[in-house]
Amino acid sequence: MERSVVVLLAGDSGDGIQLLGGQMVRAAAQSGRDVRTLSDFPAEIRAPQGTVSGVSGFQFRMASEAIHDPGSQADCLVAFNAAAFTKYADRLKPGGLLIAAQEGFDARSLALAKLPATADPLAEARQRFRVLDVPVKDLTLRARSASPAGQRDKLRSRNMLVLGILVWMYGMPADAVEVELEHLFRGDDANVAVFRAGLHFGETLEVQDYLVSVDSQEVPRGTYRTVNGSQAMALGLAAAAHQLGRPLLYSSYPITPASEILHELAKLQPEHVTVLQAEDEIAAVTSALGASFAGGLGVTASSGPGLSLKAEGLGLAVMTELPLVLIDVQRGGPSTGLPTKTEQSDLAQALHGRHGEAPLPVLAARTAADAFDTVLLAAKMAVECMTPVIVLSDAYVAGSAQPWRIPSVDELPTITPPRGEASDAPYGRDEQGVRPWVAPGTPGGAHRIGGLEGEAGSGRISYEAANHQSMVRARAAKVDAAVRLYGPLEVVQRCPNADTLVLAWGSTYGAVRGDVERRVAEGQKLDYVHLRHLHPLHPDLKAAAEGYRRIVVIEMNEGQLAHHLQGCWARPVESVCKTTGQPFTEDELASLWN
Amino acid sequence: MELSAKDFQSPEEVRWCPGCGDYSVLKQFTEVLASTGADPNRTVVVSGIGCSSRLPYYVDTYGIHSLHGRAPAVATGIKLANPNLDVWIITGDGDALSIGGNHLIHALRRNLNVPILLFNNEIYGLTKGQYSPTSRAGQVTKSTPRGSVDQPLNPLTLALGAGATWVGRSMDRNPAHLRAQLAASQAHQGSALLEIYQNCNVFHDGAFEAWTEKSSQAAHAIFLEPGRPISWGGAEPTHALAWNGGRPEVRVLGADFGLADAWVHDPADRIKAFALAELEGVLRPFGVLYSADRPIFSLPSGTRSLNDVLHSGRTWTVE
Repeated sequence: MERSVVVLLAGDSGDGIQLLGGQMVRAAAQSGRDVRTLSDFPAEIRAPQGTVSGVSGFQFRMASEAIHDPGSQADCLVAFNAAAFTKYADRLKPGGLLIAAQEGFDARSLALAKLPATADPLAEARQRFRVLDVPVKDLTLRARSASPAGQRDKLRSRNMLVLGILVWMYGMPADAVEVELEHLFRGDDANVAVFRAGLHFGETLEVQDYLVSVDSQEVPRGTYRTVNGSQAMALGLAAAAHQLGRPLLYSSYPITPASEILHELAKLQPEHVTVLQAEDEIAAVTSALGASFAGGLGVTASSGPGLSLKAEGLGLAVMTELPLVLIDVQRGGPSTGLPTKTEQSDLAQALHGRHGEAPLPVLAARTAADAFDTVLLAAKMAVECMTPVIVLSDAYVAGSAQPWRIPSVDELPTITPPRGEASDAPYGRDEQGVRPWVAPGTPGGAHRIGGLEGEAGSGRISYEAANHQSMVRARAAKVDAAVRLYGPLEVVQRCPNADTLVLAWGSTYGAVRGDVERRVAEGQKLDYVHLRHLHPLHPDLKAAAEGYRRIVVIEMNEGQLAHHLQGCWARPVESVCKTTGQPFTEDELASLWN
Repeated sequence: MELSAKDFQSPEEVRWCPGCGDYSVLKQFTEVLASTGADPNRTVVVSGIGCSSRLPYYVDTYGIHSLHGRAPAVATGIKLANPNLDVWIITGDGDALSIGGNHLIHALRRNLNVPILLFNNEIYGLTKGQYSPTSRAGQVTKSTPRGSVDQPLNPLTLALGAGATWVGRSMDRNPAHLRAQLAASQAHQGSALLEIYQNCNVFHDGAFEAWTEKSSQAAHAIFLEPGRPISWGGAEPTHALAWNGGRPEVRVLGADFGLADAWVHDPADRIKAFALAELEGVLRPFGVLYSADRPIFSLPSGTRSLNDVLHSGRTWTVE
């Protein structure tokens, strides 16, 4: 019995790889296995068919125990064509299983993959791997022989054949998968027929070597679903609107990979939530801010270049002290960079990238499930502290799926708006430094706000030197006081007498946790803190950090958090980083530092 | 209790240059708020950046002085969060047509239910005298010492092209006319773009004298009235427009061409509105060029309960 298996699915972006992966994840999660995923899309919608640049990949790891990352080397690679095999052969463990679609290795496919006509990649593969070559095309066409559809249409079900084989191989509940497929395809049973053909192929093959079983684990009671980071963000915003009980305007401009949140919210239609596709990134942030001025909660999202375009709007949000949530789904940059790949390189801009003294809270989500809690906390901070808040996600969190226990509504955190009576001075402050939220429509509350510096209390235009100084400090102090909404400092891994503190943030969580656990098992004395709060830092972090000889900061950029902490703490830290567009793996981290 | 114009004046000290046309616009604006019975608790004045965009500070309603060019986007968010608010956008030629051009055209095409008051002075005033998108070809400014080479933009044809449902023009020097257009723009259901010729006496003085001064106005300004012949020249009109083969033609009124033969203004006719807007020479139209009904922009918020949303898609239960 294996404890954990990593499967990598690869083919043309039109082969239905992501759908196949999604069904495997659901089947695994539904049958009590823990699952983590990693998608690898080309940036083009339909890159040239059969070529290496057009290969789409989907990796998942399922396990009989709690896991935190999608694994690194695959136990099984499914290659729909020669290009897919060429791209990912090095990701398959020596001796691992290659499932190859026979027709994807014909002369034409070799040419498209830029392999010489004389090459025989499957023969070469047999030297390194166990190979199961399957006539996927023939089996699919045979399973659909009764259908009047054309061959091209019939072959769209090829992914279902592979699904059948995988479900059989990994001993997963075929009945439950059939129910899902019937739901998904709404009574079109052609796909179910092909799925069954795959199951039968597995059974009749009777090659027991291929059978791999992964135990189920004990999971807490409750109702579950799978979520990726984008879906979890959308659900978190729906929850925020409900908890606030006021209009929430989600305004954004399409950009990869942030757009999926827009699609999810537009589809879900949660109460109190209005979705606007703005005319550009600047309109997205400024319309969201308009909604906040009007007494609702403005939310916007973007990626990479869009964050830069919104910087001016954030300045106005800081100056007017209105709530705003900005989600940045980071991708490889600068500029268009690697729009479908992951990176954590917007941190410096999130922390510092504004004109003037303009501090604001910055949070980061570590996993898909965590994205729900993080965005809900961001909404709470924005409203209760009257400040814009940036939430950092990335392409990896956005696209990774995992099982998620659906919380009950009464266990969600409350969101309590500040006072907002007509008698409240617009820029008077409570004991936490928070100004009131007097929305238009409040009788007797008429007042003006804007980008010009306002006088403390009244908010009227003021160019007074002393007033500006005190307002700059009051805005910063208000943000610093947001730490009252943090829980206790979470130490993910704690060792007696640890002399080294490992710090990481965002989507590196799974890989870093695996790396740290392995090192601790080998006898290294490490503690590990994973930061959700990038600004303000957790109030107990600095004092905790002082107790360690070494601090190692791991991140997917060129050391942005490391530089920031060195500045804040005036002490050296060690930086472990990379910017390849791919997330860290546990194995990779093992070799990156000592 | 009825409010007077004075009740709509905020305690803020008005800081435009002495003699600026903005003073008149502010005065007519507060007069119209009072005369139309505006509720200061539900009125929101939104502006961008520039001399004109200081106006919200001087009006005792809710107001937000936002970012350069972004007032239409801010107003869109305000209207979506609370459609019951009466929102006004205050902007200028640089704010609306240069840095904020994109937001303006999208507000107009969506038919956001907001009057947009575009103070056109054909110059950048707040930044002290550079040429603007409406500056005339050859205009000498601080940034064009040898004269501007740019073709000026026509705010009215731009608005019509963008799908505006109400397009009008007025001037700072004719208070009664300006008040009437302000009230009409506010009464319109949908986006109303009102261009206001506004004199910048410091950087581009006299730009609109041909149409605003008593001595020359009669010969150059056409005051449009719905259902009336398009004519000008004084109390007894001397000239009129004919609609001749799909284009406007200037005719002298007399024995062979009387008012009964003239083109009768119909603000519902978009083609003719374009023709009027394209009068860019010495003859210029004032009043409502175009007014049409089209559904106003609104986006309903969702209705699904949170519990339903959280459980959307396929779920399973672990006992």
